[in-house]
Amino acid sequence: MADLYGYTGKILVVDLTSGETSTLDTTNYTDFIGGRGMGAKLHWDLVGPDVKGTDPENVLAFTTSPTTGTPCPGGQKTCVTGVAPHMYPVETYLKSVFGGMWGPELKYAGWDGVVLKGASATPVYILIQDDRVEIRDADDLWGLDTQSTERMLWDRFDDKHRIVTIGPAGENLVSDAVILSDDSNTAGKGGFGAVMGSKKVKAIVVRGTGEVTMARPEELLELAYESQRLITRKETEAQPSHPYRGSLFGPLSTEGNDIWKEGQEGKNVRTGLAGCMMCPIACGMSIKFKDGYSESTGHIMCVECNAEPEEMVVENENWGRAAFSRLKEMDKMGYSVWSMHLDIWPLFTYGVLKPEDLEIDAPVGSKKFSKELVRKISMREGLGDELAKGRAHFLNEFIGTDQTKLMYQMQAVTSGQSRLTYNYGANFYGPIGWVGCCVSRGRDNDQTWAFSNTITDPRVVAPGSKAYMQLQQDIGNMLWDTDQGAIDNANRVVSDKIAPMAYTAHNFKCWVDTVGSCSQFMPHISMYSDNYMGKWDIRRQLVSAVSGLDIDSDEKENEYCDRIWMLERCIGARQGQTKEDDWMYDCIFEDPSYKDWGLTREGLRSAIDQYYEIRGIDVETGLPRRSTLERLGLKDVADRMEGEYGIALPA
Amino acid sequence: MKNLQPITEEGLSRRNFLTGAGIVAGGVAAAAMLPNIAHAEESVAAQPLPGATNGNKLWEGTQLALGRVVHNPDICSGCRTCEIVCSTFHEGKASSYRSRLQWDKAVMDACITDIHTCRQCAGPECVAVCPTGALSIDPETGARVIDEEVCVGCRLCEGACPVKPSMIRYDERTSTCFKCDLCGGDPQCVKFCPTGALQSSWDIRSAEEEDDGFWEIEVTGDAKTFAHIEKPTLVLSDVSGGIQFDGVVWTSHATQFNIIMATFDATAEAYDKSGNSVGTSDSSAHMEIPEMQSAEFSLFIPTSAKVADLGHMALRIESAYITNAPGEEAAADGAAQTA
Repeated sequence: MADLYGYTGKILVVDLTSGETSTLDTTNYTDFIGGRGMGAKLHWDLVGPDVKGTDPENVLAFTTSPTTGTPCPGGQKTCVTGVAPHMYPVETYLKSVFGGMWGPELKYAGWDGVVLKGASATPVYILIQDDRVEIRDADDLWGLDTQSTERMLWDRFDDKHRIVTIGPAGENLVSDAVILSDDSNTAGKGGFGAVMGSKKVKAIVVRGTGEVTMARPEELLELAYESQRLITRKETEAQPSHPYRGSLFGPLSTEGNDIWKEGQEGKNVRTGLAGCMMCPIACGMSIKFKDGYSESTGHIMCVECNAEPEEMVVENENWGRAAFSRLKEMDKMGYSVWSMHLDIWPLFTYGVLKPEDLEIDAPVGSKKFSKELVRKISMREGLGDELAKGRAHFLNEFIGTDQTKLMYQMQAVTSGQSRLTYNYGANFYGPIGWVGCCVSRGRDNDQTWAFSNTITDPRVVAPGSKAYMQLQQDIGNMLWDTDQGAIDNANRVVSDKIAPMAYTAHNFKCWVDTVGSCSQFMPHISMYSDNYMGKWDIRRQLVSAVSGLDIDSDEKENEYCDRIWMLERCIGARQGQTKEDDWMYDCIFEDPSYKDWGLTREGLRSAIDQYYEIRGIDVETGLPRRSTLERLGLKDVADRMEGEYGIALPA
Repeated sequence: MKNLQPITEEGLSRRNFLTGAGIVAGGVAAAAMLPNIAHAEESVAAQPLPGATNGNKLWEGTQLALGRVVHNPDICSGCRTCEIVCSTFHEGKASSYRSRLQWDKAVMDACITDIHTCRQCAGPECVAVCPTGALSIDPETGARVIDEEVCVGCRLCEGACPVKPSMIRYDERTSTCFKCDLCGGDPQCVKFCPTGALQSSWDIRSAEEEDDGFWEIEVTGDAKTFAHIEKPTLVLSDVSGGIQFDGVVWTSHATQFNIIMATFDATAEAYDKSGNSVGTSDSSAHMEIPEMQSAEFSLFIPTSAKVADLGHMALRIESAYITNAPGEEAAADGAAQTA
């Protein structure tokens, strides 16, 4: 067997029911590279179709990629997969990723992934120090917030250990609970904190002193340097017109907001920039004041630090301490910042709920309100118990009027909880985004945005400018030999050029998740190169230099992505996903507020059918064709679909 | 520090013979200094600090390093690129354990990161204590380097390093020590640092220490002049109940270092490395710093109160600045007072 570069060669399996550990051989998973792909394969192998998120039969898999821990910028994320309790109306398979440094530390400890099976009877945490793996009693940690847990564990071992943990929200099986690492890196999607909580695992503590091998380390260093230079400049070289400076994220500028001003006036502020491992951008920022108040704003892609309008009014601030303390409370309780921003907060904005309903004696937007709201949901107090089951449950079942159901459907466009929606920002991305309703994994549909966001990144080129459109056309010419798709997309025309773009976009996101990359790491466009066109190939060249895999063309990259995508589609199919799920709510076509989108049923139908053809999915049923699966080396998957689950696959 | 073994004068002489280049002067004198080094952390400021050369003729003639890698925590994102690039460049394998830099991130304290780097001391104790000649001075860059083929892993150098944590690392798997070698003059950590927080001291583009609540630094004169202030540490002296406050200053030009101190309930007194008082909290403290060298300084507050009661506010360095032209302190003083 050829040397296995980039991988450590083994995956840790912790059976919490029996308290035993075992290992899996990574070589069985290298066809799926790592991250999202490896996680999908583990899920397919280890979990059946009729499992709910918080069942002991659910398997929570943390997977890394070959690039994790190596000097590959933007290849360090850890993927979490399993059945997600947040999903509605059926709890489906999902993945979520988090950054930080836990994944690299796991690699240095000698593991490509950690799989949690079964459920413990009592609270435990898992200690991994190189080859030493222990399941330890966590009675004293259970009930603590995430920060206290981390402090306790760092005191117990040392702060070189990296930790993932859950807060009270996860312990109480709140469907929006996150898994949190370090200050604020979270796997926020799907409520995997509740899955960890259902297994009674409070934390996984990792310390590794080993190493990760690379196929061509010298080439990797050259590529890493090149991709760094495409994206950022050092602080000492940066120009004000170029917002991407190393560790200074232009649009997340804290300059001008209240918390920044407050610090500047007293000259007593200290900012710490928070970057994930090897990241040249480092989108996170922390602020500390002389009075001891410190706050992390989080990493923008994991925890969007939005200020709520109500806070600005009630606390009379513009991104001040109220906004930051709200973020901190959510991090401490292990509750999803996104769920709060998109799912819960609008209930108050639109008057569905009032603070009195939750017995909170403070106006919406006040510090006290935010703190109490997060606490009541996380602790499942009063009405918080219903909110803890998720927005979909709350609007569709708990209240359940036609009005709230419609509200759910219309705003679900942005929150991505249901399969019958498509990615947030679909309006911005146009038809490519609409085809995003054809999803592979569960009801998670943000498969388009990574690509769409990067080819139309307003931080690189000003939206609406000539260069902005030119960049999209250039990319169109590069990838599809025509810029017609970009033009059609901009004009909201669903032409036959749209489906191929959506296919590329979905595979792009699949690649990004699979190699543990971050969607903000995008050396294929660059403000530091001619016409903003960076280097398209460098993403896979980096992976190839690490792993030695032969990936030097779009075709070869697509082969991996197609395989992963189709396996996820099979996981969806065995959970009951059909063609009908690749669609949108009626209100999207009918409600006048969506009229500007130019979306019609016929247009979407034609684009989706074309998309199916490209994918090798049967247009009649929406199921993967057997020939497609066999072409991708998934014959065993096809056999299992037909033999074990009785799903007849079209030829 | 505690594991430092007694070394005979014969051993030192033989070592100097083995080492060859670099340290010609003062092998015997180094042996005489060793006890002081060993107990430096327990001493108050009156004791000489390790690694210092000012006023010490011991290291005269020793080749200086090109410089060192300096770190500015204010723009550091703690991404650990430096760590992983370090081991990849040297070993071809990615490993934080094999990094020559040490990474220290206060995750719960606004994510402020310190990167500890080798000082490439003007008076390299690590080279002096090495019994096998594995540690030597690279004639090209002046870097203090370890030949891992020769190293037997006795870890004397690790203990002799004046920096905490020790900048000499020990690999249990290979049973050898390893340290920063400045990558032959092109430090990869500096090249790859995405923010510019790590810089080669001989190639400073720009760097300014900002106020972190404890320090204010003002650099005057030539723009090339660069002062790097290490994060100071507070050490409770069990001898007298006072507080010791250690720091390191690095400059690219021969300069004079000025500290202005203020304390709330105690009198602060500053000492230089020779243990001479250079001032109290009512006045400025001045220190000469030779070109291209680091200088440790130590401030000591004699007080009966316990550190816990004093807190960090007990000693506040109001201002510290470097002037480029010794002899013009008065003018510079005025500028610093306004800072």
